[in-house]
Parts: sequence; C-alpha cells; structure tokens
Amino acid sequence: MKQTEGIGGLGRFAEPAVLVLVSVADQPKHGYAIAADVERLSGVRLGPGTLYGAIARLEERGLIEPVPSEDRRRPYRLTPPGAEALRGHLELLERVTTAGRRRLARA
Amino acid sequence: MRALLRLYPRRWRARYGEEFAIILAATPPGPGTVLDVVRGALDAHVRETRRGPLVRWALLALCAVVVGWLNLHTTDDVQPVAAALLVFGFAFGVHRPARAWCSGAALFAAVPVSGAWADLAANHLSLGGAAPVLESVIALIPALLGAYTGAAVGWGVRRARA
Repeated sequence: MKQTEGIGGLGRFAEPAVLVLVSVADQPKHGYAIAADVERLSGVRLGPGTLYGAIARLEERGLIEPVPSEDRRRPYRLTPPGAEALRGHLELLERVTTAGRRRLARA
Repeated sequence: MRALLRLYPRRWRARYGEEFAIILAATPPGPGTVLDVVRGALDAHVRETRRGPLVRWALLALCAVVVGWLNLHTTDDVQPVAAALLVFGFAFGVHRPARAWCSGAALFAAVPVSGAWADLAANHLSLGGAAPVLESVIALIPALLGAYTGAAVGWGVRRARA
C-alpha cells in the first residue's frame, strides 16, 4: 500500500475510516456506538452518511467485518488485515507527530 | 428523515438500510444531516456504478464492435451477424436478466450504426455496401431473441438456486 493513498488505499476518505477502525479496535461496536465513541475520542461528530460511507468502504476492503447478531444494530469488529492497516497508519502518524513536535521545539 | 434512505442504491439499502435507519432516527435533523446523507448516497451510487458494470459495459461495447465488424465484412450473408447477435445477446441476458432489453438494444445498435458509417465512408472506402440502415431493423429480432432467451435461462437458474 502506498502511504500517499491513505489507510487501505482510501485516499481522501481515510480520516473517518481511521476513526472507525480505532473505535472498533478494542471490541466490536455497532454504528451508533462507533459514532458516540468517535465523538468522545476526537470531538468529531460523524454524520450518518459519512459514518456508513466509511463502514461500507472498510467492509468492502475486508478491514472490518460484521459480527453475527440477533440485534438489528449489527456490530462490526476489526479483521487481522484491518489491525495491520491501522497499526501501519498509526506508526506513520506517530513518526509525523514526533517530527512535528521536534521541529516546533526548535522553532 | 427516513425518506432520505431512499436516495441510496437498492443493494446498499438491503445491506445497511436497517441499521442506517436507526442511526438516522437518532441524529438531530437539520440541513447538515440532510447534506451529509445526500453526499453519502451520491458516494454510494458512484461506488455502485464503478463495481462490475464498468467491465460489463466494456464487454458489451467490444461485442457491439464485433457485430459491427461482421456487418461490414460479411454483407453477402446475414447469418454471421445474426449468430453473433444471438450468442452475445444470450450471454448478456443470462448475466443480467433484468437488463436484457438494454443489452439486446445495444448489440442491435451496432448494425445500423456500422451500416450508417459504411454509407458515410462509401465514397472513400470500398466496403462492398453494408445493408441499408432501415433494413437493419430486422437485426432487432436475433438481438432481442438472444437476450430474452438468455434472460429466461438466467432467471430459471437464479430461481433454481434460491
């Protein structure tokens, strides 16, 4: 995967997708719980269209998968390729963050 | 607000519609939400058309070119063109029964279009004279016959699998 294409090759759709991946990283969550968790984590309120656009893309790429459930609200969990993609993306963000802090300190 | 769900493609609604409706009902209504959903629906439609159909349209165009080529190069004998229309129509009909009319019409169109092109180019090329454009309407018969026979088989297979 080229880093310039963003996580999972999602390009400009990467940001909501990363937030969804982070949200389901610890345990499966359904759409509503993901939206609430993302808002708590980042202050970003994902609209229903954006949220399900990200969920559909991530599921299409096999980065998340639905968990069988009796509930009408289907929970989603991170898949192994999803965990790998998220780990790679977070490492990249960490490098950028570290470099940014270092440069700011020198400024 | 629930009516906004109708903006999404049918296949998308079948997959996410129920859970999407729940979260939509829990979202405060407003222009921002409407805009977000409309944008999401547009995005879903774009992704829907990107998948599969593009390959199908490319194949359909290729088959239409073959039909057009046969129409120009086998003018003494209509059988190869009719056979190609039947076979291609059948294949596309089996693949997408609901679009049989569309596939049949697209394949048929290659006959008058290639005929018209030959008429226009007749002064410069010696193609032996393809069938006149109006007479080529008869090519609709093998094109639609093939497409609808394929559609019948396609529907039969789907029903048997269900």
